[in-house]
Amino acid sequence: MLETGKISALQIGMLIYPVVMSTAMLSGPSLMAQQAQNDLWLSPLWASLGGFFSVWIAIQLNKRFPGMSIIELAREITGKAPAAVLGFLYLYVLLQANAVIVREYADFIAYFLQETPLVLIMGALILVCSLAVKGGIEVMGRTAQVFFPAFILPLLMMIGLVFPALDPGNLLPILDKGLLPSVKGAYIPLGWFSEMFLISYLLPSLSDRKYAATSAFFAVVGAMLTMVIVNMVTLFLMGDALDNVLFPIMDTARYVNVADFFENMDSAVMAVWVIGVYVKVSMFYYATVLGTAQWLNLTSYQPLILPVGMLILLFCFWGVPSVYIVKEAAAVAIPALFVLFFCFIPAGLLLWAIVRGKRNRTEEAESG
Amino acid sequence: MKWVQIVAMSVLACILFALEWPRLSRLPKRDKAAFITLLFVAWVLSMLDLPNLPGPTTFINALFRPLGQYLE
Repeated sequence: MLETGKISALQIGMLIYPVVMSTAMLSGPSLMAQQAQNDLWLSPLWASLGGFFSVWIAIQLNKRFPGMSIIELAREITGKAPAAVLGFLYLYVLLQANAVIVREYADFIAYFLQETPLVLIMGALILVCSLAVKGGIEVMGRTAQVFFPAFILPLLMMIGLVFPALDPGNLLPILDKGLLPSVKGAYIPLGWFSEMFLISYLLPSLSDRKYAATSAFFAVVGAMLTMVIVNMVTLFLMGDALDNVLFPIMDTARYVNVADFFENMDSAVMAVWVIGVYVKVSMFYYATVLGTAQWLNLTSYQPLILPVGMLILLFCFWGVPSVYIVKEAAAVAIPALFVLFFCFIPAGLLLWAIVRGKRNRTEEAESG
Repeated sequence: MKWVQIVAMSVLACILFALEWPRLSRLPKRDKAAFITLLFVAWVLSMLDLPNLPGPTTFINALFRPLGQYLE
């Protein structure tokens, strides 16, 4: 096996929660508000169904093929040639998605650091993440565990401080135009929730397998509740103006002013976002590198880390003359690719494995 | 600007190579080939004027544009 490190079920939950939440923390509420208007608090509920589904598929596949990631088990199920094509597509999607995430991050940071070249912002992030990936799954699991409180607490504090200014009346009228707008608003978060399927790369390194489902389930529920709460808070604060705000959580934090002492909390939001995106990018980076090594049957994934990092950096620029191209990709193409590759194709593979009665018997005997 | 980019990316590729090679030289041929191919592809790509060339992002945007219009 390429990865010898072990992580706990709790660490899986703490790794996968920021993966879903970090992008949602940036512009989630306004993206959902553009479609769902004041019903945006319903959208995460619909989207989380996709999260439960992809987690369930990942765990079922792991039960049939313990110790294998999606790249390896595709080979067991479909045979060599189709699995090679499928594996390549998976690696491409991971690389592409990672480039879009890094580019979105850099565009957000460039909003503060206006003179800094984009390539430097991206390079710094990719360098840090490459060090985490080089440390392996254990380092990633532990950093995620250490950073987890720092990811949650500032958000809770911000909501607490902004609480007196909230106006729940903005919620009305509920379901004015029926359910359809809130379902349409669930499209982008559905892509984020599908990312939960990345646990497929973590499950083989899990030390306590029986808690995997519980931990992943709580991560989905946690992400869903956080999104619902954050959507409600931003809606209660901004009302109809929400869909025009670029970074709603930033502006909510900027609004906080208690006794002229608690001010400028937006820097805390920026710090939280950097932590979240670090976990997210390292997770995608790790999946790309490990997947490439498995796809090519290499003996180690370590040598691939730096060249793949350079490729991510180049993909951030390739065919992206302006920020609008990235916005379009993040709003339409990336969610579609995620739903396809992290929900439907794994579900198809699972169905195929069940119909053909395939499972990995040797590994099962080893693990008892 | 163009020349600065080419020199900087070449230096970066050399640094990555120098960093990895001592450990890589003990690994099988297949690992070496994968590393060198990836690094070479990245190095060649970095020579081009990437932001103004159609790339994978352009491709997926074009592929899913009808879906985007439906969602509008």
